[in-house]
Amino acid sequence: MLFALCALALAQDDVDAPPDVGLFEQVNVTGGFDVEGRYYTSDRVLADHPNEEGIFNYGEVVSRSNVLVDSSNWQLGAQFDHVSMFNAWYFLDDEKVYEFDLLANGVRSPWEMSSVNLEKTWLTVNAGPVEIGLGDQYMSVGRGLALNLVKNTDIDVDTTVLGARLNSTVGMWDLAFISGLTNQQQIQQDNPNRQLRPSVHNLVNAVRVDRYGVGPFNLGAHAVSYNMADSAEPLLPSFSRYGDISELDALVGGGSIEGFLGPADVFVEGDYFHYRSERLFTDGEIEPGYALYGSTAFYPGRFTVLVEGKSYKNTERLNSLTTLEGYEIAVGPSLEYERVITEDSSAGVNSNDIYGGRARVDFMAKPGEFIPYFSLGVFRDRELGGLHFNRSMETIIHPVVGMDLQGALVTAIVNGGVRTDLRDDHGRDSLVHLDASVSFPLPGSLHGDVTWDIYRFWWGDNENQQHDFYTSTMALAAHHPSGFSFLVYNDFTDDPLAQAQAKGNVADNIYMAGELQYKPNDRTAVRAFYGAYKAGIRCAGGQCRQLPGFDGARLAVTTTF
Amino acid sequence: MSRKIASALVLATAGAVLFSATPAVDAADSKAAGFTLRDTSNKEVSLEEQKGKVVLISFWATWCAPCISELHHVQKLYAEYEDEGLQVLAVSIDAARDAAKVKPTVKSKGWTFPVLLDKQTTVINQYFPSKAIPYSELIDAEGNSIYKHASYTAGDECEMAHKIIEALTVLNGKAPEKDMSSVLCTEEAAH
Repeated sequence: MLFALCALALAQDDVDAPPDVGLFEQVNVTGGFDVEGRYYTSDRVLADHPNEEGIFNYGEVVSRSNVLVDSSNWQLGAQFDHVSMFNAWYFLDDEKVYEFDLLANGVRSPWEMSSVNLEKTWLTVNAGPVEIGLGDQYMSVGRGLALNLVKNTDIDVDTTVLGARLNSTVGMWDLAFISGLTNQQQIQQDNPNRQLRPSVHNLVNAVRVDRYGVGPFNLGAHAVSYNMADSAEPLLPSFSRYGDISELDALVGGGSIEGFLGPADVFVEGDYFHYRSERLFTDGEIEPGYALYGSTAFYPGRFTVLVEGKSYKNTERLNSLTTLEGYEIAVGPSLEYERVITEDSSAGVNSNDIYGGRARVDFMAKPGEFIPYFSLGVFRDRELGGLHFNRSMETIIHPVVGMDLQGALVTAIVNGGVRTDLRDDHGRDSLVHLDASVSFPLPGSLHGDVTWDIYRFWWGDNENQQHDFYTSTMALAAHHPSGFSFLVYNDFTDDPLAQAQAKGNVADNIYMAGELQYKPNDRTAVRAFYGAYKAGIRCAGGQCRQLPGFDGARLAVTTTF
Repeated sequence: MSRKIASALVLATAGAVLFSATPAVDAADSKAAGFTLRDTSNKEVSLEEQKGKVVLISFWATWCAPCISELHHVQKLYAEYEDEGLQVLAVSIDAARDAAKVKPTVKSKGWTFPVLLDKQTTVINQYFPSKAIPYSELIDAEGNSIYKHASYTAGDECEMAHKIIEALTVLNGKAPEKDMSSVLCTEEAAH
């Protein structure tokens, strides 16, 4: 059916074109190419050969090529990823020993230490009110609580649904449908590649219907089904998953109302999670889940007020089989200040039993130029298992103040706050944080900017009894109009968990690096980096990932065509 | 040490080869990929319906500080040149979960250009798959992409103003009445 619609759409394109213009004569080709070479250094030595330093150093080159062929009514795209290793071995007693395997079982490559992957391919065809997508597609429904598979390059996560998507707009109705298998990015572009694993194909089916203009309201409803891959047989032939469609792990149904009520905008969504699989409840009986999310915004005078509230129960169960693979399939609004998520507060982001809200007020003190704000988040986290470091419920209180200054000479975006996790028992965890992005003039024709994040974290009493710690991340840059930029990076952390993953290159807790950037034209950028940065948890788009540190050199070229 | 040197040479050579292979000047203009998205009031807006205008597509997100700074200057250009044929489409790539933040951010910053929601990151994937934002493209009245710019550092708005003025001059057969490049570039020169 979908193929037939595609053929019809392509034929329609041909019919509508002028007689002397063929199907492919108005085709436009664009694309991009990124390549980065990295050289990792390590102070690790073999126990029997303590004087042979540097034998665990190795090189890695990763690249990504994108091409998009675009016509008036269709688009064809492809993304190729590549990785190669150099010197990732050493000789011991005249025998070649590999430090690690690039490929894990199940990933095919004709080369021992290289891999090329046709990571994404997609075809999109527009036929009047219908748009059909085949191949790798992104989709989210509602506020992402039931399904949220979108690109998240900030943490090197890019999972699509490999299958078919249909979107249609007829009058005031929108229909979106998708069916396919999750396709996880396999070759990391920003992080080390070791033991590349095959993509685990989970079956996802989703449908969303929106009706606009029902008075001042827009109404929407959606349903999503999940059939997770069997961990014992993750590499079943891709579409055989459809064969056991009756063995669904989870079904999610929900609806939303959006209203533009004079001075206020309102959005409310509710979802019900029906679980059928014990694999999602390894810690107890199968229970249903639900999610309620609401937001309202209004704009009195120079103020902008945004209030959001949530109540989630067993919503993260959906992700429990996929998070270890580096991605989440359904991510709702966390209402957290995600720039300073720690190992402790990530538990709140991924809690299976939490409710609360956040209010933010912006004030246009000088419209367009100076906007201070205040926000307050209050949550009650009732989950005790999972990522939680404590064994009692807690109340989280997190006020943040900040400002956006867009002056003629200086711009500054500054945020600071105090987060307190008040446990019912065993004290509290506390976090004080400050981050700033400041741009300022330098002598001559240079321009500078500095980005600085710093926080102090105090653990309360807990079973693991971790150490309190400081963490600081700073980047200082000088830019020249010719296209050259020079950056200095400095990280500091006395967090034993971070140091255990990567020690500093200046001292155990101090990391320094420098980078030279050059943009010869608008389409090309070259970056050369030397030094080290720390490991740490990073959250973006509601997804959190433990990113490794780095010590060595990087050379990168990015270009578009 | 020899392994270090060998690896460094491999990397440097590969980089030099790649660098020399990159175009020294902009590649030929190409047609911009078409799209239709909803704005913050859920109204459908398509690139195709902007034909006849000079269109600046600017991809941004509420969490992107350089994007906010760039759009601050884009607002100045839009306020001055909207009547001369400039259309700005600021495409937010905030995911669905952050959609509630977009309109309040726009309101609080005082931006008046249309803001579109690319919640499923399909349009940014067509234009700039690496998704490093801010990313801007300038489209002429015929739908040709005539200028692409990734990232933002202070002063970039000066070049953007020049490009927009050039495009509007071609569109209208005469230069815009007010030369915003002199304003923005003067601010930059003051730096």
